[in-house]
Amino acid sequence: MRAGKSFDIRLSTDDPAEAERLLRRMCEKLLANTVVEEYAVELTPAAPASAAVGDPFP
Amino acid sequence: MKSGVVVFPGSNCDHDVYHVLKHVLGQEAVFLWHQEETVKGCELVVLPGGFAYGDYLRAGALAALSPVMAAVKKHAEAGGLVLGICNGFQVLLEAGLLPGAMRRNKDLRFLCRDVYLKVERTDLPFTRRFKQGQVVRMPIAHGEGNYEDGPAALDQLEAAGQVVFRYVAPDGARSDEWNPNGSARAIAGIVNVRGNVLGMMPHPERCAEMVLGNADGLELLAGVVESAVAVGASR
Repeated sequence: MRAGKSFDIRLSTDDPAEAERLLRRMCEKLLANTVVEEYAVELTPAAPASAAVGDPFP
Repeated sequence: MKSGVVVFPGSNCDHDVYHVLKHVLGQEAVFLWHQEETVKGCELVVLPGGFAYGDYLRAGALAALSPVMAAVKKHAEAGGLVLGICNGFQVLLEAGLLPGAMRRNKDLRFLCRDVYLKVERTDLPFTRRFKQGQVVRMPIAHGEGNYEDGPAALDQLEAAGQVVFRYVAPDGARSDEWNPNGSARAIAGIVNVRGNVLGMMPHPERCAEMVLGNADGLELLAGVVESAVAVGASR
């Protein structure tokens, strides 16, 4: 078994279609090596900006 | 022949290749910093071993997007010679200049040892001084050298004669025991269809002088120099 990687990426757009387009492009170009890896993109609404700057692993 | 050795932040075999080209073979050699936008008129570009950009994300992934790689792609498209050694091979794969990908070695350990390689092709500038089927010894030093591609892609690679070096036993026989990293079809080095871009995990520059106990690797670099001289003479 081989575990892949997961990335939490915060985008400045609030357009889901645009967000998905950007993320898929990032995966294709750099984040995944599609020769041996698959990727999946999941969108979640961002928490308020003030909460987002804190420690991601409190 | 003028050679350029690319230097990424984290390259660590750049001076070794430069030394062999310049001092052992007596050729003009320059370093090409990763931010260069041309290959400065070099006939051969070497992507050396090391840990370019720390190999963050995946080995070679970030280096593949550096400015100099755009120039290396142009150089390759124009028929210029490119040699990727170890990390340089990983960069060539990530940059799409060669097909396939690298995974972690089969036992997940970094391997630093000599291996035996069978030379599958001798009609390339890189292999012209070897004999067909010759077994040579070179060192490897890598954690991600487990070459992989889909079965159809591997068949195509074989059919097109793009496999240049394979891991074998000292007598030239193929077996899992002598395939150190688990590479598909025991692949240690491949070339593009055109024959001007070679990627290999073993380090020819680390075995290019008898004072180091082994000069099998010198034949590879000397062959490239010879072919460049031959091309120059025929012009």
